[in-house]
Amino acid sequence: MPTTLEVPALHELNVDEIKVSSAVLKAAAHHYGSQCDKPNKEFMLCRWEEKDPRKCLEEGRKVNECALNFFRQIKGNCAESFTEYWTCLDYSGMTELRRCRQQQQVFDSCVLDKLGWERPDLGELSKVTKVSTPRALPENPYHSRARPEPNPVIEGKLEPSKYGSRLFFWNW
Amino acid sequence: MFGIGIGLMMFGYWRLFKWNRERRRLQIEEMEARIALMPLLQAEHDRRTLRMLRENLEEEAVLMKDVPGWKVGESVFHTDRWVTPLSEELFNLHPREELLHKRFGFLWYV
Repeated sequence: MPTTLEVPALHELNVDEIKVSSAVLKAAAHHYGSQCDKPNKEFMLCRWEEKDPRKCLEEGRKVNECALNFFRQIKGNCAESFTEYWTCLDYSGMTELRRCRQQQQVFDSCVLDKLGWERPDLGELSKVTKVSTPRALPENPYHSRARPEPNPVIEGKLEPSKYGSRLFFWNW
Repeated sequence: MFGIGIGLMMFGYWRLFKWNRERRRLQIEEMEARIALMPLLQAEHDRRTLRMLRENLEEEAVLMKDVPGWKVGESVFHTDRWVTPLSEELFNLHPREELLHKRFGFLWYV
């Protein structure tokens, strides 16, 4: 019996979006990764465990809120150095981070002075972390049917076969 | 003569290996920027997919209301878990350019 696909209504999907271009995101990525770590990790955990985007809309909303707060804080404090940094990144062809080291230094020191954020070292954002959530682990996320019962234990005496394995021409 | 040539080669190799290690570090840094931004992009993608599915559902209800025996939003599978919709299915009512952009617009990182 085919079931109906349940899609959430449009008003549930309305979230304050971040209207920012890719160079801006990449410029702030390292600090974003270390500051907005908690809601990000919870969202990814939810997504990977439930394997269903409809169940993780709340966590997605929190991710957006955290990102908005993050950008508001940067805009409030370090706007000029951040603008210079991301315009420099935008200017280079593939938004390579190595072309803009000077502006990056200026931005990092500004953020460190005003907000106390440190840029994470190389390799810190790709470490494997454990996330603790109040959400319980979903059982049967793949909606699989009931598994068949295991085979019953063979009673009685088992003897070796009379003529061997009988595989092709081997008779041992 | 040979000594000079081999020495020069060794020096060249050493410089090459050093630069390769430096490139690896730079690549790790760029990948980390991507890792940091993944939840944002994933959440936006999910919302976009769900929004398009909702719009398609409503369009379907409008278009097929005179067809007898048609259940709106009927799934073609027997299971009731989430199946990621195909791009063709999502962009059915959108101009073809958007489907091409989704499928072939972005090919690889660097």
